[in-house]
Amino acid sequence: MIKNRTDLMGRFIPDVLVDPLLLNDPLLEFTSAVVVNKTSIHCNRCGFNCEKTKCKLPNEIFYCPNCIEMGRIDTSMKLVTVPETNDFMIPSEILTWKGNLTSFQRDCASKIITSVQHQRNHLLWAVTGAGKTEMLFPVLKWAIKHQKRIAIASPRVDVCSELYPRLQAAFSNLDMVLLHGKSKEQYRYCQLTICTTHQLMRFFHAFDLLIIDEVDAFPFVANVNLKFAVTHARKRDGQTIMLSATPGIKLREKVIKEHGDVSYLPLRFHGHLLPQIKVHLSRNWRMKLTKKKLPKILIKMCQHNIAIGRRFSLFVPQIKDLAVIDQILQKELSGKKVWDCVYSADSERMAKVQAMRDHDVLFLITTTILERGVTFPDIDVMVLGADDPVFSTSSLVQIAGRVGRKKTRPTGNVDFFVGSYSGRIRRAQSEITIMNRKGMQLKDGK
Amino acid sequence: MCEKCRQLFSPIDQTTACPGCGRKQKQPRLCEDCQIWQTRHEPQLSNRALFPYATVQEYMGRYKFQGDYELRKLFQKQFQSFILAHATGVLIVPIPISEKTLAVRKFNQVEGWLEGLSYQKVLEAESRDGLPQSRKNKRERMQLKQPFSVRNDWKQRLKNRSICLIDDVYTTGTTLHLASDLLYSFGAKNVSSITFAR
Ligand SMILES: [Zn+2]
Ligand SMILES: [Zn+2]
Ligand SMILES: [Zn+2]
Repeated sequence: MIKNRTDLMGRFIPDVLVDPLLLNDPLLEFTSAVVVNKTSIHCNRCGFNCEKTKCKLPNEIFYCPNCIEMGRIDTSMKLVTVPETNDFMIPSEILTWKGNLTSFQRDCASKIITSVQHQRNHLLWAVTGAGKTEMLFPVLKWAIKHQKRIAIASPRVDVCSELYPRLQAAFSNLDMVLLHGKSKEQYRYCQLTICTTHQLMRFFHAFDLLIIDEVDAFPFVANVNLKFAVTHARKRDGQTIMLSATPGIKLREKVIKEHGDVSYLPLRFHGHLLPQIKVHLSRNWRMKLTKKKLPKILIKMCQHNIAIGRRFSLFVPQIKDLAVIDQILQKELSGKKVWDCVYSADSERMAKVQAMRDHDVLFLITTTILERGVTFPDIDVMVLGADDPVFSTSSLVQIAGRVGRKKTRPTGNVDFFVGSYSGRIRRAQSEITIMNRKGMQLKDGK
Repeated sequence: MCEKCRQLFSPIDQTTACPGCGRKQKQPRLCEDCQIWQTRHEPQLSNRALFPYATVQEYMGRYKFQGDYELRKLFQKQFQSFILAHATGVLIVPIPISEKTLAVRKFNQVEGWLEGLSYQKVLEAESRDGLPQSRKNKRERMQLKQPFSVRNDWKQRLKNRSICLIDDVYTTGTTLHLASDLLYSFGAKNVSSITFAR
């Protein structure tokens, strides 16, 4: 039960979750949760339209099936909000981060501030490992100082969880809150919110500045209609900053058409280029896997990495492959088991990722969940079955981008094991080549 | 639901299920839990269940607890034919939910599956709040254990009837035993039960 008016500021909460005493507060504003039209219903929380025959409760009540995981809302309910007043205490020292941006990063960072100051949206197109979080620090500092309410949203829980401690460290005097389905943290009224894009549906005209990470993963990820969520969560006169390592041409054109700006950084923060993908043909790897066999070269590489203590991630197409590969490796690799398997719905996923971060395991075998955002600074990557359609061009580029994230080890190996070359792999390789060419030009000052 | 998904939900083999609670077993003999019921409860209740609980746990989470009423349709046909195959010529009575639960969920999950089948709302679930336990006398406290009552219009009509209770999940068996006790006390001749899961 919500008892304080502040907890409704800029929020969009079903009336059944609000204390009846608070519901009489004259500052509260109400909107129908679900609107009934002639043949369909419209959900005001997630923007979903549903045929009336597919979402009817008894007694002529209709509910939204799309956002039901956030708690079912229906036509008998209202969504409650209190207009945002930006009632924040600004710390005297805002940015406590003492690092330095490279001149390329500084350039992008100031372009972002200029956009926001001129009420324009901005797309930051930066290769993986360019240091986009750090590039946001200046605009965050500016926005905090100017009493703005800010959210940073990503479609992925892991990305949010990784971002949060980094932001806490960089803005150590600022109160911020992390919101996602699995977090134990309660909602708190804060100037800075870090959340999954899902959580944006619980806000109404709250944010002056809304930063969306991995915008290329949209328009629809995990039942979130991004455009709808942004329009609702952001103030009418607020700005959006979009971050992407692989924005499609359509998105770039769209941002410009809608009078936004695009900045571009094809170099990684340490000034090195992206590692290129090396492809190893291993015909019928899938069939061999059913016979409990892995490509010899893959096993050799694992043995080599274990011998020299090199950390790596091994990506596989399907969850069911994990157990099989785990078994084969237990047989092939002697000594103590130095790896773990993790997949997206894994209940121990966070703990396993943490174990990798803490160097408790040498490598992780995983499905695509770790392709974005989650970084281990000094790893190599391997992909078994990179020709499988689950790996899109953009996710292959992302996977390659996991490598060489450390200043002291700016390069590394990206090895793909495939049954045959796919167009997706070729496109990923050529995207890396193009970005590297642009990176070279930037370095040479052309 | 496509064939592939349908196959994920494999029903309990009725020929080897426990004759007491309907749980999935290799041999059709009374399971341990039912043997305990046997020693302390008369008359015996025989329950049949369509699915093992583990099989439908996720489905139940979404349908009953998140309240995705639309999902009733996924198993309506199958559950209804299961009921008709094992309960012919009897009064079909769904286990009710309390007013309070109904106000939040806005549907009875059992009745959702029974849509289109002829059944009778004989029972009512009494709201479990009211006076706190300590302020009630012993008799009142004893009565508290019985969460159901028979609707007024059925009180005179249960004599010598054969009744089949329908519930979503057989967990400990307490709910169904209490409901059947009540029906017997109103003169029912025979009470059996069918649940969606066990
Ligand atoms: Zn919705
Ligand atoms: Zn299917
Ligand atoms: Zn039994």
